[in-house]
Amino acid sequence: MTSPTSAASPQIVGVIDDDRSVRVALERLFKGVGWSVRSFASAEEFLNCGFHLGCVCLVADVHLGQMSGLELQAILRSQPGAPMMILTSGLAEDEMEVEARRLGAAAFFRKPFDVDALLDAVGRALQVQ
Amino acid sequence: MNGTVELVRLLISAQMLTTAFLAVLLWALHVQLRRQEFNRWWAYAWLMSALFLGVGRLAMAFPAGWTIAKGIVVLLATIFGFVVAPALVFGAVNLESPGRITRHAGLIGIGTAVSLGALSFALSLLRSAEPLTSFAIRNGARTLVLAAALFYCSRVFFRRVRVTASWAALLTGVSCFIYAVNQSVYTVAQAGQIYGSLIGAPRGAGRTVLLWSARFLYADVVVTCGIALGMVLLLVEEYQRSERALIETMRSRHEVAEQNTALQLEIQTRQEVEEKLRASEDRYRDLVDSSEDLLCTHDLEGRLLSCNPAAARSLGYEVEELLKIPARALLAQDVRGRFGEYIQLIQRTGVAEGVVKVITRDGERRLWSFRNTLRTDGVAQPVVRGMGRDVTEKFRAERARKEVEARHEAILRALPDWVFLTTGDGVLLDCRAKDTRYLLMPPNEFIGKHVMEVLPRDLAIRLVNCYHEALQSDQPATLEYSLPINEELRYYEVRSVRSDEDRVLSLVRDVTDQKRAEQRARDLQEELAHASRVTAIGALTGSLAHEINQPLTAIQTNAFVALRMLETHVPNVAAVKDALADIIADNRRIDEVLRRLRGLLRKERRDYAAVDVNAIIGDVLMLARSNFIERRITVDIRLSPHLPPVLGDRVQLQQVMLNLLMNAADAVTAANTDDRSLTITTDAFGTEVTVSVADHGVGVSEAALAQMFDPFFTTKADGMGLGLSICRAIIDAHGGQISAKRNSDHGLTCWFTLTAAAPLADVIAPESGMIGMRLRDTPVADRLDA
Repeated sequence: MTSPTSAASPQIVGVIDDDRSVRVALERLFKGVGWSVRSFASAEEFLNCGFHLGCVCLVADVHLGQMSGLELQAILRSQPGAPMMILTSGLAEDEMEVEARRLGAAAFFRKPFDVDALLDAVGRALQVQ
Repeated sequence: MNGTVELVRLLISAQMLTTAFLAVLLWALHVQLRRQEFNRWWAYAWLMSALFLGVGRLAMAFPAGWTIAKGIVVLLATIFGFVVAPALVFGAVNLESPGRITRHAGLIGIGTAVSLGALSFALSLLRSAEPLTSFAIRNGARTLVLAAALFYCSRVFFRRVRVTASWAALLTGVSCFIYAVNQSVYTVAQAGQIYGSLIGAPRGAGRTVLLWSARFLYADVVVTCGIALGMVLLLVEEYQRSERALIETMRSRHEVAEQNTALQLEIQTRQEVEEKLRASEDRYRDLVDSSEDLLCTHDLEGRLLSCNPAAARSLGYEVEELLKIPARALLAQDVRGRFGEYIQLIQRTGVAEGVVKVITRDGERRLWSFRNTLRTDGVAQPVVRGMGRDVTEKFRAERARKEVEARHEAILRALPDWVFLTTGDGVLLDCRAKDTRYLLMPPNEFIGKHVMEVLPRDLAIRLVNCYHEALQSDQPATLEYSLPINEELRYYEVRSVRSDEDRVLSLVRDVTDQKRAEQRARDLQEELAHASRVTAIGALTGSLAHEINQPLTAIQTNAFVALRMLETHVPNVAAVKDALADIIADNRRIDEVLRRLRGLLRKERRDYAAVDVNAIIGDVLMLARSNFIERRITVDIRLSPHLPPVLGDRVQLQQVMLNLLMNAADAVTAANTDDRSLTITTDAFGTEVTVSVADHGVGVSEAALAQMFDPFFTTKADGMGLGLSICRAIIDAHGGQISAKRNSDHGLTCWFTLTAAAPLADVIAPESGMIGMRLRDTPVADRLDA
């Protein structure tokens, strides 16, 4: 596992998951790689903090409280400088993945996912940016 | 011849004197002593006799040949002589029957004698030429009459002698008789003289006879004296008799006095006896009059002779009215014909008893029990004594009692249960069992024994307690028990009620079949509930996968991080520890989910214990969380921190909660509105715990609301309609209630109640703390609270 741009610019990864355990684990994972991480429990929280424009990559769960990950993506994709979306889901539903990709998600992971693959996906998103 | 005349004169004088003496004597007796008519008449008679003799003697003094003076004297003498006879007869008659001769009769007699005297004198004057014949004519009739009178007197005296045995009467009678004979002799002599004169016989012969008869003048004197003596003796006898009579009188008076005393005593005694008798009679009368028994007497014709007021009152009459009515008419119509039979019976045996139907004045029929007896002693006609008692009320009460008894008997016969009668202490008195197959022993083996001797000790104690409880209240005391009969456990239900003061009636019902049916139903319900749980969990499969995937994701990530950290040159041990700690925590989360899932899937018997309703809600929410997240349903949890534990089965209550939550979630999903929240509320009111689940979903119609807890009722396309009916069965079994109501805006609120296992105060402190902890620890709660 490599982190080519870690030292260059502080690239911020956002994490949205209503499950605290998952949130903490991802935060720990991304920090260990050298990325800056900010995590949120819901889409609304993320939108309200005014930070979303500075976020390069957003790892969000599909199943959130009020606003789902897909709805959040739908909102963000129309905006310029929107972060790259990587969606995760605890439920294996194919329609959801199709919908996510249609909305322009960079990746879709079913929980529990391969951590290396996730890191790769996030790394790719950061490089694209 | 002259000498003889002189003698006659002398004798006549003597006779005159004695006669006069006798007349005086009798007059004296009449005047001084006896005042008897006899004495008076005889005094007259002998006075007349003395006057006759005296005047006759005077006539003898006249010279021969008639002069007027001599004629007057002779006439007087003749009249005097004639008057003697009736006077004597009247005296004698009076002696026998005093007062018989009236003054009138006396005067007629005297008058007749005077007339006869005058007549004989006149006749004698026809032969005045012949002095002796003339004398004989005058004296012959006189002596004849006198003789007759004296014979009558002697007869009277003799009769008296026969009656009184009086010597004086005998003397007088004999004297009278002799005197009468003398007079008869004179009469005969004079008759001879007259006869001689009429036939012209020589004068001398008649004169001789006359002179001869004069010799009897002696006898006249003597008998006159005899009569006088007789009179005196009569007086003496009379005196003696008087004296005797006096003594007799004295004695009899004494006797009378004695008798009087005795009589007085007797009267007194009799009065006392009468007094007692009256008092006794009064007592008896009072007894009879005030007796409530019905008393009467009647004769064999059926006529009432007497009755007491109670008898009359019982029939609605006054005593006097009743006595006018024949006994037969007092009987009821249908038994009237047997009155004759009754009379015959009592005549034959002296007794009749039984019950008779009588009819009152108002026509009411009453029943009398009676025992009537015949009285024949001391009465002219046989009398029936009637003693009775009105038994109508008693009879009616008896009949009513019998009816009640028969009804009770019928009820007991109809009962399928065993009926035991026991004392309050548990001695078995009676048993009635339709079916004795399942009795522990035949009734005759336990009657009279105590339940302790018959049944197992612990059961006997429970039964006796049950009897005591029944005795102390009017409510039935109940008890359920089981007993092995014929190597088979059978179940019984006892209902004991107080029968009387100290007796208990127990109905024992064999509920074995019922119990088994219930058990089967319960088993079936259990299976159904399990199936329903499995179905419910099936619906949660996705949610469960998510629930497990989340921690798995965290674990995997943390493990990856920890591994990477350890690969560095200087591993940050603290950070590795944090990651590993999180792995362990998430592992525990998975374990917890699986544990609860296993609990819900477990098929086990009802297991009642004190459970925390809030914890149950937490368990269910944990399982359902992912499902809710997926359907974007939020749960507003408003749990009371002061909730007492309830007695219940954890799994079943979880099932109820899960059902309600899933239904609510389905309703919200179906509504597809913005308000996708559910509200779970718990609350405690006294010993009652209420749990409610409110949603803002599609809701139901009023009609559906009424049926939503019925089996196979569903509004869902793929629903079986069993979930809520099972919920209701479970809550019912817990002694609670379950219901639903439509919210005022939209959606539905389902709620159920449970009863606290113990008083609230005992459980608040520890439980409330735990609830708070758990909810704060739970990630769901954490998020939902935010």
